[in-house]
Amino acid sequence: MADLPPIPKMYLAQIEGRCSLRYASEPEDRKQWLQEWVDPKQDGNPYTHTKPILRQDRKPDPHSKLALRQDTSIYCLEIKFNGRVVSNGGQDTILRPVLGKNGIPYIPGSSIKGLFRRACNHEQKIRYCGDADRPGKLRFHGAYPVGDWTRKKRQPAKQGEVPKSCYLIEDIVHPQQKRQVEAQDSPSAYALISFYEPTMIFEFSSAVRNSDEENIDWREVETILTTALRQGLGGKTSTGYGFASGYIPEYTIKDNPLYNQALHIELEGTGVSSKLLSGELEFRPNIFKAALRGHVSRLLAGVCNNKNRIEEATDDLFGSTNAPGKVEIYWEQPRKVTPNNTYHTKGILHILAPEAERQFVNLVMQFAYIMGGFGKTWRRVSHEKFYPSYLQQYGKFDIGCHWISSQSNFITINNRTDLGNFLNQLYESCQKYLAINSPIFVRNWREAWHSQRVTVYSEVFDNSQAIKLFHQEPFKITPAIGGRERPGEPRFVSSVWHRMLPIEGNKYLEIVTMFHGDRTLWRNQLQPFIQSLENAQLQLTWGTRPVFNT
Amino acid sequence: MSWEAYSLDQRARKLVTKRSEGCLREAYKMREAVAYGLERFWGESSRYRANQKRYEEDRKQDKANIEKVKADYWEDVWNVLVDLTKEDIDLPLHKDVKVEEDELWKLSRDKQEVALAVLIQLCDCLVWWTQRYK
Repeated sequence: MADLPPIPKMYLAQIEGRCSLRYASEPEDRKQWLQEWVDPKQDGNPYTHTKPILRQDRKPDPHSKLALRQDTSIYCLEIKFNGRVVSNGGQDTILRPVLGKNGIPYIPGSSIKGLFRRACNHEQKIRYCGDADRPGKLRFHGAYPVGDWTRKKRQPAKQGEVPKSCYLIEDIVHPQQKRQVEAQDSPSAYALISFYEPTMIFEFSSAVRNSDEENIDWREVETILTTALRQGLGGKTSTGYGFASGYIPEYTIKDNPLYNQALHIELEGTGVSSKLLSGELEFRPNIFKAALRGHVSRLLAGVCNNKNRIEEATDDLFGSTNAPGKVEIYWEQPRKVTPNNTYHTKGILHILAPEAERQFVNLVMQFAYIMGGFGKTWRRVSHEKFYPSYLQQYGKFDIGCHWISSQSNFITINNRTDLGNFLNQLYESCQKYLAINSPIFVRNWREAWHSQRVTVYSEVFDNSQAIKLFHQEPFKITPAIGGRERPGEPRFVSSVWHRMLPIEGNKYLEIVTMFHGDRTLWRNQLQPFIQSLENAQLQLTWGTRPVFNT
Repeated sequence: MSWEAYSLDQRARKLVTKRSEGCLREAYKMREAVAYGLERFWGESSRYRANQKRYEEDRKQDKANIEKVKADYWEDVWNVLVDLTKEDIDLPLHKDVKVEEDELWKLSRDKQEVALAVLIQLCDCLVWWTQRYK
């Protein structure tokens, strides 16, 4: 249309061929949409909110952070978020916050009121939020980010290229469950928009005026809000989004009654950093929930062949689009992780769940820790630690992870027998969890945890005996082992897990787990691979040694 | 243009009562989507329809049904808008929109604005009735 000015992407139908924002692999529409949205004048200066000037003499009390704005009768509270904050602002193919004036995203007052209300007692609820008969005394103006909410970042230019910039609000979700647990599937990644480490101003005012007895106790308002924020702001809180610095969840605080209803696991880990769409590296605390969710699915698929039941049980624990899950997870790390190609992190993983679920999740958590690890390439041991000469050979360290727990009571595994016993106990617990007497596994899933489909080899060593096997011809180009068919980028999810589990006496229990339900992925390499493990002195610990015709 | 009440309230009530509970909340999204103009509003039905087809291919009939109900609702609202404004604006029915030809953008600015004004009011009525019936 020559006679029409170009129509901004935001006003086009969000369908294929008009404006498709969702799929990470199709960036063109999204790039333009982002550019038009965040920088409407195209002058490199997006609209921003500046910090309001506060009247220091009008604080509710000297310790309060809530203060009156100089120009109005609105009380403000400035809160910094250490991680990402995501909220869903409605009708878009992409998840993005509600947009306010000039297109600046914000959290609406109604959302803040909902959050606030949850932290109120009955009396406070009626006083501040009102009920069907009376209006509340408090006005909730919402929360807005101050400063550069787009988090524009200039990226270092490669040789001979013009420097580029990216917006750190452009986030990514990369669901792996189907691909890793159920069937070889295309790895679709989706884009979303989330605030990156925002500083937000929460605003309130009084809905009643000129009456002394109607005065609002602003100190109490501040306490309620900060208590409410411990549950996290916005969505995806169980994967680490939405936690304000200084207002961490109640179940992580020792003298809070909820503390005893949660698991607290000390962990230290190193692994391959996650990459944003822009190529920026980030440590993402959602690796823990992803690992637990995937393991629950594959473990339950080993005892129950009703896929709907497995899906329901997994959703019940970890949530779905219909309802939040029973399990809440918070990764507490004292220091910010600066990711390189690899990250190093140390902290406490807090998992809140009702009693029955907590016991099961604890076992699954131990399973995750014992058998592999967390995050990208969790199936491989850290090459940085266990194959240092790989650096000299290939000049990079982007394979594997290594997790240790300094907590003596977290697991009690020191040899093959302990591991075998643990896996038996876990299998029984899975049956109990779903109340199943005679287990049947899902036949067409690639990683259903059943002794006929999976084989675990292990032995105690000082150092890895198996790591070099993965780099041997032809194992490295066997889809089920190396995850690739030819040298280069992996296309397949490997069916082998490899773990160096730290045990007492500075030794390791080397564990190799093989899923052999789908023999086509093994390309006749299952028998030679098992033979090589046996030659390296690893021994069958759980599952059945596969039967070979030849 | 002379005053025409369009019986928006009755139309909205009919639309809301016809729907299943599963898609009542769409009314709020409609009210929000109106701000982005006619094409975006038109497109939401098509987006849900595409989701429905994807779920059907994956044999997830439950999820496909949910998307279908939503797609139908948006489509119905669009078609009611077409019917309401047919004397003044020649808006095509949902299935007849040729979005790839920028058909909706070729309408005169006035007509677009009138259509949107009516749509906004219709959505407000939908929200009102949704709150009553929810």
